[in-house]
Amino acid sequence: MLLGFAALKLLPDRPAEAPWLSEDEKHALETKLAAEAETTRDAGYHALGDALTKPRVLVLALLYFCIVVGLYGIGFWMPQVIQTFGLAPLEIGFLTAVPYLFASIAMVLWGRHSDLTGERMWHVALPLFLAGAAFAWSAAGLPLAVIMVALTLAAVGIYAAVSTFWSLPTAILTGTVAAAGPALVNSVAISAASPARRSSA
Amino acid sequence: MIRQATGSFTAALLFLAAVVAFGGVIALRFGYAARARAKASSIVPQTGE
Repeated sequence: MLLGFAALKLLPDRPAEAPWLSEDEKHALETKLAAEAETTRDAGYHALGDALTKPRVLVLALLYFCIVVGLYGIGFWMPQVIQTFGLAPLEIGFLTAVPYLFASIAMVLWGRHSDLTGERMWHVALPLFLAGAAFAWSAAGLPLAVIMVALTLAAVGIYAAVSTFWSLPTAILTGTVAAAGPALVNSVAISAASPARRSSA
Repeated sequence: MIRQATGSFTAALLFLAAVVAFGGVIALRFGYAARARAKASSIVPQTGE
């Protein structure tokens, strides 16, 4: 909480007020922000109330809820699924790390590919379909090695989707709403998904 | 909850599969709606222009 108040006091609101930037850097960033605001001016939201009430922001919250449920599923249920094979806690710990290793690589590569192509929609949807199929596959009561492959694919899908998801709110939100909108999306999704976390206990 | 009710992870994992796949459908719907809006705004002249 203290850091939150410190951020309010210490962090500048705009690049033009940032003392660590040169004049050229300030100008370049302000120009870039103005261009982005112009792009979202017609189809985007500007007022703070828009971030809290408009359907597109709430749809993004619903979408992120689905992603967070997958994140919780991987985080909380995967170790328990592995535990059903009778492994020691240390072995479970090492095995649990494997999907995250692949997911971390996939996040970077998938996000980079999305930036290079400028495509967002399929870069969020495809990994989620992959994760959905992988979760269904892992439910089939297969040997541990196959379950690990399925859960790794699920983790890859979920984390790849997260890497591109956060580009969606900024595509429709500008100005003050560009900060408030993602905050709403995040808080609504995580609050709604908390029963899934509790159900893992 | 789901896992406790069924005594196994099967239902829980299938629940995850359904929710995550539903997220994929929402992403597609969101993307296609955004494209349609962008296309419409490029065709219809803006007020005051």
